[in-house]
Amino acid sequence: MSGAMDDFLRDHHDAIIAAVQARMKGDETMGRVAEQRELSESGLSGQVLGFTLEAIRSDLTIGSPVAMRQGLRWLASLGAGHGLPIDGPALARLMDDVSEEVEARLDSDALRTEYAAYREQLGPMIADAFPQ
Amino acid sequence: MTLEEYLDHLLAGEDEACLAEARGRAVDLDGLHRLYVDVIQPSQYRVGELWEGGKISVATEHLATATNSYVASMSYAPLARATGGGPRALIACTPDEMHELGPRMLADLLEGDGWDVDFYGTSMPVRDLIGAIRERKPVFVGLSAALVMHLGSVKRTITAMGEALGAEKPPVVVGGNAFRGDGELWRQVGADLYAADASAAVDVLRDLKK
Repeated sequence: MSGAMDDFLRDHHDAIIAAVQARMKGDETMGRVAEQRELSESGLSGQVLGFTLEAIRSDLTIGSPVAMRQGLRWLASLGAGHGLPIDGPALARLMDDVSEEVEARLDSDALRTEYAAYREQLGPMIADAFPQ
Repeated sequence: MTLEEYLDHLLAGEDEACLAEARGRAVDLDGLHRLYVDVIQPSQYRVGELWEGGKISVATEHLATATNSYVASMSYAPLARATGGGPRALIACTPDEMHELGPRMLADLLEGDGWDVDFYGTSMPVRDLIGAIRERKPVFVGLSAALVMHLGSVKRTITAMGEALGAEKPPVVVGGNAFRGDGELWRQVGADLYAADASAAVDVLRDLKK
């Protein structure tokens, strides 16, 4: 990852989380998971988005999507083990929201190209972790 | 006692039964190596899997982790050697990493092998880590990461060390659960060495003592 991308993701971390939380407000899946885990919806989404952005930043830093891939598998296993209604479509919606908020803030073609290449890998990774 | 029997005691919070088993094994440093690698590390991984699978509660997971930490400390204490004079090692977790049992066990085994170990515990800020390296001048730095999402943090830490210390940057050995399952990840984060467990790390690092 370029130093510029690392700086970008660090500097925009809080703004991206706040914007995605606003988009996700009222999301049925998130609401049900929050209820089961006895968390507020914003508390849960804050945790999930914090992990998600850290995984994205880690993947772009080391140049391999290992953190997101393993994170999604872990989430699938956790959901199954704890009876949480987490599924592929819900994760795909979340990743789309995150990616749109990231891309809306990117201010150079080089960064947009770098992120677009990463975003292309998200769909297949979700499908692998949550087979239909 | 089998690993499964140890795990049963661990999950039941029966710390004295766990400690009795550990003391029976850790009669010398070789025994301590085997205790850490054959009992505490795999039981700790199993605890994580059981929580993930919804088989145990967060409370049980915390109790088991605390018990393993207690067992490790109490097993090492009778074997601890007076430090000082040996080559210095610096062991830490990267920023935001809160799992310290693995690197703590590495610190114990390195001390047993004659190293003078500075163990900094969880979530070491990069700037302070670099300051500690400048001040303490370790032969190597050991960085631990349990969660895969912290791999980027490991790389950023090593990169910052290189930028700040240049040719004075000591070699970096990495380890922890984040590196399990992919034999090349340690290279991708820019580390110089990798070991799959604390005992293997002692062997890998012995060459640096010369």
